[in-house]
Amino acid sequence: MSALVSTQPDVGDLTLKAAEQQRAILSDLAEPGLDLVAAAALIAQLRTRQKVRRERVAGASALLLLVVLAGAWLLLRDSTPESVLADQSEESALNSKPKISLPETTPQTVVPVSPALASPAPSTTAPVVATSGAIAVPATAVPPPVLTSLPNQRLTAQLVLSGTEIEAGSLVEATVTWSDEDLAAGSTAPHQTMSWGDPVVSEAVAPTPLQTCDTPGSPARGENVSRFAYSTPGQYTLRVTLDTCVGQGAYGERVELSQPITVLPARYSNPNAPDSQDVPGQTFAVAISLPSGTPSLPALGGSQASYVPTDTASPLLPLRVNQGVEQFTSSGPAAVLVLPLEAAGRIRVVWTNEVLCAETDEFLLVSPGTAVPVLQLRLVACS
Amino acid sequence: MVSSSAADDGGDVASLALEPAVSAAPAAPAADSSFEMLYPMAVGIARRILDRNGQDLDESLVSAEEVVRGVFLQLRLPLSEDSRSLAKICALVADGCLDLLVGAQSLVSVPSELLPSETGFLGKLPLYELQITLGDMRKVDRRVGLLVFAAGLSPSQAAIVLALGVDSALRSINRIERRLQDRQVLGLGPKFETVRS
Repeated sequence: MSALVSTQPDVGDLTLKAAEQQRAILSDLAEPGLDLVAAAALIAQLRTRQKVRRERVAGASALLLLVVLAGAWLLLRDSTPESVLADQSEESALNSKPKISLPETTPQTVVPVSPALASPAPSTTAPVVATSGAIAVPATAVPPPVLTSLPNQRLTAQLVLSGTEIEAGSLVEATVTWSDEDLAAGSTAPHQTMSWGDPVVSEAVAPTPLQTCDTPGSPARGENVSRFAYSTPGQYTLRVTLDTCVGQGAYGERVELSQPITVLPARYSNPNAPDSQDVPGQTFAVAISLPSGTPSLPALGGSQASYVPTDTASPLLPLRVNQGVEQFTSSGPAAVLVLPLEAAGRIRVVWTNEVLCAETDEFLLVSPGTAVPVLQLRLVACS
Repeated sequence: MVSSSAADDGGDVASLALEPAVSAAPAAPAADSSFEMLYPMAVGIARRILDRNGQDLDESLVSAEEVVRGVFLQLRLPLSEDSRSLAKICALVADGCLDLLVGAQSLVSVPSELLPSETGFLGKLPLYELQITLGDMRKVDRRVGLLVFAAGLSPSQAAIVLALGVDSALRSINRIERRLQDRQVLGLGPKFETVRS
């Protein structure tokens, strides 16, 4: 066995032998008479060029990478401080707060409040009354979470209209949905004002509640539905303001929503004959306030109105009274009624069971282009 | 005896390998001496692949040096003279020469045992046909094929130069033979007056 091992050629020896043979073969093949100095110089020169080219490509690549990274950072960075979460989690109420969606409306703007706005909310042409024209749906209160020193979370709101093109005297409905994760302590809902833009009638404005907004409260959300009837055709912008403490204080809020509305000329339809053909109409504002000392009349919403033409040969026409609408003129609570075009006569209003009746003065033919007349009701005998 | 021979013959290689580690300053003269040894070898291989018999020496030398310059630009400095480096240089030179054989009309003589008469070549192989055949084959086959069929090395010499086993080189030659024969059968190869005896 040992003899066998000794006669076996060593692997290292074989390798050396192959290397010798390789060198010998290649030496035989070597090309004689080459200008090695020139060749070496040329290769060195090419190598230098190659190195310079590689450095340039590497530099350009690094520059391009920097530009791409900088662009990506600029595009993808989130500058809102609310997105910086202490717990590094992606899901948080903070993330969803500033996103206020407003389908079919103009973009919502959150207006920074200046100290000048600390005064009571601006009113419309109607007197300020305590009741709001909005039908408030009770806000749903959620059990309060553990309060931490989180920054104020924005009030979000959404405005949806029943239609953006309506006829004068017809009912339009605005639904405002709001939500606040830390509604100021002491508030159940933000204060809401509606400015419809009509030149004759407006919606009631509730006074701004006196309170402070320095303490966060519970999460709350709610929905307000407002109804309105325009008196005059034209282009208007409905402006809705939601605020707590007029935006003052650490947890004060102020959000403005707006929505364009087109009001078309009025058309008269007989409420007692739904299948009858509509005819061109004209609007009248009928105010129900009475001189001081006189008992006030009930709201027009619960009454039946009719048009009594001057021409006694013409029939008495029933008028549509919009339900659930509280509007005001400078004279007091009012309603917008639609009469047939070129009407002349008076409007008669009868409340339940003909116990209480009121009439306007006789009005003449209203020439086209004039302002909508405001007619005053006075009590009359129900005969 | 073997060990003493290894000490004598391998002494240069060992010293070259150790020198850069001991002192970096003399690297330039060592690289120069390596270049002086390696460059003519590489040019010789390339020239024989392109023009085995030196029929157009002026042109083939220029082309061979161009190929070798490209090879040397790929090598890391300092140049090494060990067996693997030599094999690598030969392989890269063969790779570089293949494209230069496109359309080469010259014929090279090939021993009948490497190119049987069944292939129809009768000992003469057009270089363009070799180029087309090797172009579709794996790298090792291409390199062996160029050294054996074009440069005229024996299979064992090609195996040694490329630091391959002889068996591996022979397998490559068999594959090349089959491919040449397949091309003839399919009518893709050159036409001969007498294909078979």
